[in-house]
Amino acid sequence: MAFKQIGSLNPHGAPVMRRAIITDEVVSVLQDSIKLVSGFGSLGTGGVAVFGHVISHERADGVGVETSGAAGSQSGSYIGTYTASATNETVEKVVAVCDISKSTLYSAEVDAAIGTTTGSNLLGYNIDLIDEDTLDESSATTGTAQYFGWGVDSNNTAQAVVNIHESVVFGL
Amino acid sequence: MENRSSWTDLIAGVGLQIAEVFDLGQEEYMPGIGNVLTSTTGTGAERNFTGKTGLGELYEFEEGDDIPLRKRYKTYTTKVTYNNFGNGVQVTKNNIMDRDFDAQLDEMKDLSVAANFAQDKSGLQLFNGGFATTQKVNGYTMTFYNDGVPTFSTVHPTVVPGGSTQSNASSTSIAFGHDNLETAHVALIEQQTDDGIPLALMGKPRIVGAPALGREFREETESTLDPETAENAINVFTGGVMDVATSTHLAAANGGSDTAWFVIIPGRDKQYHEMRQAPVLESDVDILSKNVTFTVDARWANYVKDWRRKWASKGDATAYSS
Repeated sequence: MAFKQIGSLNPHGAPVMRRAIITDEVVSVLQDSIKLVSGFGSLGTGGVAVFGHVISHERADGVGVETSGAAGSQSGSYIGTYTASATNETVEKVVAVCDISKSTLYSAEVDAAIGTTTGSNLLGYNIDLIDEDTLDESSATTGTAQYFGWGVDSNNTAQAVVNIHESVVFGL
Repeated sequence: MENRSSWTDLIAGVGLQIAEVFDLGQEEYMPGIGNVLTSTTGTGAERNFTGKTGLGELYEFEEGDDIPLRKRYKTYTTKVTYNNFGNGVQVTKNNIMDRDFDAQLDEMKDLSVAANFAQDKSGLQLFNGGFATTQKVNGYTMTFYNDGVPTFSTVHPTVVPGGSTQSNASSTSIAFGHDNLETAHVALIEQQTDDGIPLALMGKPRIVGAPALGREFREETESTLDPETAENAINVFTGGVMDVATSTHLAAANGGSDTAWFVIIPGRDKQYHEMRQAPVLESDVDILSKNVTFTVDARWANYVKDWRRKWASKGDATAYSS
């Protein structure tokens, strides 16, 4: 776990939930950052506009997946990680239900001690991903980046509080 | 947000047939901080506390001289503000309608447990944060006695001009044990007011610490003989001389210390858990999405009004001066 939803900037608080069929063979975990690639949901990478964060994995008919998706996995083996098959885009069409709201606040892990780079622990500095579940501490900048920083999480002082800044849906 | 996919196997007709769901939430630690803090209720946005010295004693004077005059002093003022605490969960309508195991998944029950747990955990941070002046301790804001030094300090200042500093902490961080408990007990008894007047002990001391010290605490308070010698010396701390309280919230694994130990006089140690607003459980339905939001919120403060009637050691044999 590296991103954790901790609240919302929206007084009504509701997430904005939308579905994205998972790209073939992608292994996604709850709370992972998701980007869109050729119409499908793939793991977020640095510098690419964010689609959202995974809330759940669902079958195409809207019910939760029962297995981890890995070949031969047993019923009941799903515990938050799903491995999409090689034909997911066209056959199984398992989706990642994502919260695409820019108002959702996350407590996020950073890849180095927070505050090492000027601004990574401060309000108003933006920061990029280093991979789908971790922020790149050294990318903190007052310029544009994927996430807007609110400073250190008071409940976990190793992590940063952020919300999506560069959204593929809502733009900057 | 929790939807049906969050609980696939607990949704009626989907996935495995689950025989039982055990609820870890019901097993959360709830010791009851009333054992180590005084629980009160408050009003307003903030409360301020201060103290005063007395006039000491009577002083001799010679025939024909004026009666000696003295002055009383106000102690440091501690400003207590209440903090907001809350938690919530959002659940889709389909999830609520389709799921089995409603009792285990009851959101209100889990939020109620969380509210009780948070009060217990936050209150114990007065001890974990007692060797520093940092107000935020393990996620909770504490208010310490406003004399500018830690609650457990070797140099508590006095408001009385010319008065001496006092200590209620071990400068060598002595470990818990028979002789060191006596050191602590004597130090506790000999604490003084800001103008240097001895205090009455009045009350049974209570030893407080992490579960890692639980065995030693019981040995020192329940053994007939001194557990640290083979000379059949009697144990003067047995027979209900002192109480014991341990809490997992004081453990090193939970942001505390497995060596630190405290001796307090409950009630007279002026450590408080004060409720401004008891936990309120609410729920509401979003008109468009039909998502249901469950919340709990409360306001309270944990604070220390004075450093007296308590004594502590970090217990790790390091030098401590703060």
